[in-house]
Amino acid sequence: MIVNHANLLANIIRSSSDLTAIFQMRLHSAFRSVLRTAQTLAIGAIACVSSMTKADEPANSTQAQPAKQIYKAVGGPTNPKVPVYWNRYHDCAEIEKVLHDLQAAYPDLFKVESVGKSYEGREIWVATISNFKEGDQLRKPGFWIDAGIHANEIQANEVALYTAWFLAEMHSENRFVQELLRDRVFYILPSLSPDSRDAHFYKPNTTNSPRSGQRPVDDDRDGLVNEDPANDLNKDGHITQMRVRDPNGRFKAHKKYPSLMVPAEEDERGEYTLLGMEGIDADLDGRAGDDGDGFYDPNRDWPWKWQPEYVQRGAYRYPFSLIENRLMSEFVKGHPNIAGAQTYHNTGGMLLRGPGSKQDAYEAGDLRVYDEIGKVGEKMLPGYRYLNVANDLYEVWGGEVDWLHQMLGIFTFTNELFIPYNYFHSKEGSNDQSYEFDKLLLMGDGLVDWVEVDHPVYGKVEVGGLKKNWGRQPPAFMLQEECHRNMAFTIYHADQMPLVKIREVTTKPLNGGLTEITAKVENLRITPTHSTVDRNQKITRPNLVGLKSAGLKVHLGQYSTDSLFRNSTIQDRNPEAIKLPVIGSKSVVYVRWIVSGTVEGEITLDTVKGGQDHKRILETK
Amino acid sequence: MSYWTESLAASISRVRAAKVFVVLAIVGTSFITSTRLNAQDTPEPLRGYSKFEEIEARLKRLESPQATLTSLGKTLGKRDVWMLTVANDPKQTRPAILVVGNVYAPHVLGRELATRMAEHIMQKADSDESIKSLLSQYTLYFIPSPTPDATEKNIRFPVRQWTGNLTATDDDRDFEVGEDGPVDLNQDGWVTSMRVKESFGTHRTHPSDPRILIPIDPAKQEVGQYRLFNESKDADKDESFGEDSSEGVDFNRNFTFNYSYFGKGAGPNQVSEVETRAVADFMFDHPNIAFVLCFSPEDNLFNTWKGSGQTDSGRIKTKVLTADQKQIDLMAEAFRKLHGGKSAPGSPAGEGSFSEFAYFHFGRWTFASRGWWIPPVEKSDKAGDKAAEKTAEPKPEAKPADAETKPADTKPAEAKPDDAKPAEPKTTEAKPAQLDKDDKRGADELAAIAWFESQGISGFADWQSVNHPDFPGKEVEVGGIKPLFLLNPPEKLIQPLVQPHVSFLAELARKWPKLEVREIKAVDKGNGLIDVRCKIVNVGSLPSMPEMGSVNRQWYPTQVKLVGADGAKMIEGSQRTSVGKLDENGGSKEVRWVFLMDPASTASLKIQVSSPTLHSVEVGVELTKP
Repeated sequence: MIVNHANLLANIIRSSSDLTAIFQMRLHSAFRSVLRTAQTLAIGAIACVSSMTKADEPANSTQAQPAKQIYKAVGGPTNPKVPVYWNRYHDCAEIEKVLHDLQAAYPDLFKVESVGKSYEGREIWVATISNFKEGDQLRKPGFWIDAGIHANEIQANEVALYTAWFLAEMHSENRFVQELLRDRVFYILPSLSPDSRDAHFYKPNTTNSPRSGQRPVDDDRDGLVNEDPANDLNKDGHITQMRVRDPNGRFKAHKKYPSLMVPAEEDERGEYTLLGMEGIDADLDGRAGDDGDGFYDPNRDWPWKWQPEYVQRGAYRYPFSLIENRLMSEFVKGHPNIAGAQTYHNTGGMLLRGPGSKQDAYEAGDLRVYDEIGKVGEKMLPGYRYLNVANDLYEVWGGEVDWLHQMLGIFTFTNELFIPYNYFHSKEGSNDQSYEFDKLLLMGDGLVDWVEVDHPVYGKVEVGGLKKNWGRQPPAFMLQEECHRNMAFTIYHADQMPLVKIREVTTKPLNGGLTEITAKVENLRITPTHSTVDRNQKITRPNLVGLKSAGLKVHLGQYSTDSLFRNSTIQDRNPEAIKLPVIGSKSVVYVRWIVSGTVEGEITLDTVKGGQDHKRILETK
Repeated sequence: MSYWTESLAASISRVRAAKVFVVLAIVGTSFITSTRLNAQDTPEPLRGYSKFEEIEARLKRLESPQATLTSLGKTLGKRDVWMLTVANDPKQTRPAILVVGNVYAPHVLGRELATRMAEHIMQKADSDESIKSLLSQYTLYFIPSPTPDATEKNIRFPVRQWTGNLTATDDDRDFEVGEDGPVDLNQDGWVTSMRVKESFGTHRTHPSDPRILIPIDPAKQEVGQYRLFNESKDADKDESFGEDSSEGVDFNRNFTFNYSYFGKGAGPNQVSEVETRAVADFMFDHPNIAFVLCFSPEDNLFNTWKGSGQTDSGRIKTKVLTADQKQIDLMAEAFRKLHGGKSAPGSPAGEGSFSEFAYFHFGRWTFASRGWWIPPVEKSDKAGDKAAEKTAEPKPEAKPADAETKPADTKPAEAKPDDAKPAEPKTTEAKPAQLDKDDKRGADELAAIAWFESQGISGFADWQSVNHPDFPGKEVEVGGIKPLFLLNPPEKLIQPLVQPHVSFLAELARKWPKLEVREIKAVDKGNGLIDVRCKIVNVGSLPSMPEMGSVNRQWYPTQVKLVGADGAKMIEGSQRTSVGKLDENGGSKEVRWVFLMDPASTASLKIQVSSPTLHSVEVGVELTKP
């Protein structure tokens, strides 16, 4: 009974905290700090209620539930040290707090650092997650995750944050996670456009805005900057649509969902004319809302196949002309151990890979790796499709994914989160599905009802339509599932980064006092130690297989993918350290030395992206 | 502090500092670095040229109410990228011309010329009418030394042409940095070429001058005698010679147009360097720049850019647009008359070059001037200063370089390392005594040597035997045309080049597009209903914007504003509107407003026309009754 009561109370507080979150979006920043305090109190209250014995401790050092109350749901941490609600969204300050709470709770697994400040001065945080007690972090294969380069795509950041939280919280109780963090290191940057994330939360917006950052740009090149933004005419925090009653208009209300505007049939009269997004023509140039914040697209700011704005809409001045991207690029380039990457976006339910331009192509060998991982992803993410940007979506010049793959050789996916399939688990989507879903499952919470306002230019108009938090983002009850399924795919991708082992070392005496030493080195995973583009462009140094021995003289060094050495490569220069251009997808390479002297010592295997190994040479008699 | 120790400050992710130290130990010893150069220890081709500190001091001396000096950024070598604003009132934003000095580091002449242009203009600001008029209407921005770290590398011993800055680069992408650069094997102070005698080499001597090596032509059944390399050792034993000096990033290869990914000197990505970013940001922050003049071996004044109607239509513009080509050709022709040079060498193809960025991506009228080249020596007219003066003199009748001019290597003294196995010749016929008339192999070197001789310049290092550890038992010689001589004239020839470039700026000012408001018809139709029409006319001799600036939207369109109509109910038109490109010599666009407003307040109606690149116009509107 006690358990039930406590849960009930916690649920009440939790839902009131959801309400707080929703209200928060609607209110102006003046009230934010008050609400923040209220929210902190609410979280504290949950902690107080659920762990009565530790009531005096601060919320972040207590666990969510006392042990005896727990009935563990599989696949999640039993009793997280850092309680986070995965059915609501987090602003930059909250993300920052969760990251630092995780660092405080798991100092041996979790480290937070800032790579620099955004345009408006927010820290850009990166979490490093690995078992710091095992191995050198810089030499473990690394996996990069970033999110929210398009700030309006707000659940992206939640998936990244959930991943960081899950890895830290599950480590103590899951063997797979333990092995993963023993062998791998994760770098997670949850908010790549933090200024605009907070702008989306606290300023009037649509579900589509702001995609840009917050640098002031003279979008319409008239000499005035940001002089004509969208305007929240009914002051509800959402930029919706404007309509005016017009018996000759070409739009009418949908029969079943009257909030939805649909085109009138050819042979019938309409009821309304649509006037576009809520806005006034502040600069009096005849175009309402033609110069708001930003304009540029941060995901058209990357060097590979970059093209200026007239070719690629959204490109800013030159690659990395946006400080947030440049700071991230410096971190990634400073971690050549990164072998896989994920950069989260919304929407459409896609597992995307490059290239972004039809004039570009990925190497066939690299595509096989993507295909194999992408196929598994389609299974893990029902409704999602594994696609390629240029041919299946639209052309992108200067996208982040292409930079990661084509210039750094890193296998990278972009998951486009959320999909209409989620509404009714049906692929037959229609335009009004979201309205039906809103009515049946959200109880109408996704829409602003049409309301009359005075427009300074058009006179009386009505505003209404989709709220900014509905359309591209999952509703509360679906958010955690979206986080978990996408994280699971990304962890699968991370687990498929190269992992190298020396399988065996054999020796064989030859004539003339010579001995043949053969090491069999193996990559246990789908991703090769070097992508084809990496080898072609000489991005990452070759793998080194070393023969370390004081008493040996090396007469010849060679390697082959064939155990019988029917096709081998001899390395004349410095044969003690054989350079292997690649250890392929789940493949074996044989390295052989012909030596004289005392057969003893060690074989070392050193790769940049696949880890290291070593094995002693034991003479076979 | 030597450049090598400075380069330690540079960061590159794949580099470990330890490796750089090893490199220092290997390469550093063979360099005689000098901390303070005076005239005597300045390498001969640059004797009399200013070093960075002197350029800096000269620019500071120009500071005055008409000239302000601003640093756009500090390079890795802690040098400022200086920008001098020259105008009657430098604080006012007016239509502007940007002059950028040596964008290609070995072309030190560009820095001298840009600095001297600024000095000349400041000196004549009150006395020369065309300069006075220029400064009364326009702003001039000078960036004489955009990549100072790279330029300074050229002013030291041993002399070689350095194109890159102090960013550590792995030029041969072998994961070691600067482990095998060219060296001065014979310790003569010049890093030149190296030839190795081989019975099946890739090169042979020129029949007219055995000092010059030319590549063999297999079609002519020629037999090679030499292999040709940079003056270098194979320090890293990879069978390539002098292929990684950690050259640094070349300013003139680091821009966004036609960028060479993973290319030598191109940098990790476009606009990756402090100085390229500083200059690019300065440009984007100054939409008032209408013209860009830069100094570089890529030249579009004697070798004008060629486009075609076909290349216009592609989504990505890669050739000058035909509408712009017409205008650029006219301006270039005016420049050639002012300059008077003849037989200009061809222009190398740019990859990530500054001038192409300025046109294609910044969308401005852009001119790239080489400034000087080795002039042809007339057979009858030999030797002495007389010839030098004559060739430097402006010759108004000089013909522009014709289309046949073949591109000249800007640094033939540094032959590319050549590891290719020589092709087996089919026969071993004796080589012809003379080359065919149309065979231009070695022609540039012959001309250069002839000019050196006529000027008494020792611009050719005679072949000298060396013992080379990588070619035991083989005949190895070092020599060739000395670096920097082909790009930089003796100091005494610089000053005559200043006036033509300054005059060119004045010429641009004369051509500047100019807007007027004409044919104003403003009618009060009664009860506050007003109808205003006018024509915005371009009376200048250039279109109101280059086609490229219109296409890439970097050139701000002209704004037309009806002032004094706030609160009016617009029936037709908007208070503010923009007009696109207006053709030269009378191109126009009509603008019309119909609106309702209080008749009492119509007296203050004005039409305002403005664009950052053009002079603003404001005219009052007087209403008539219908």
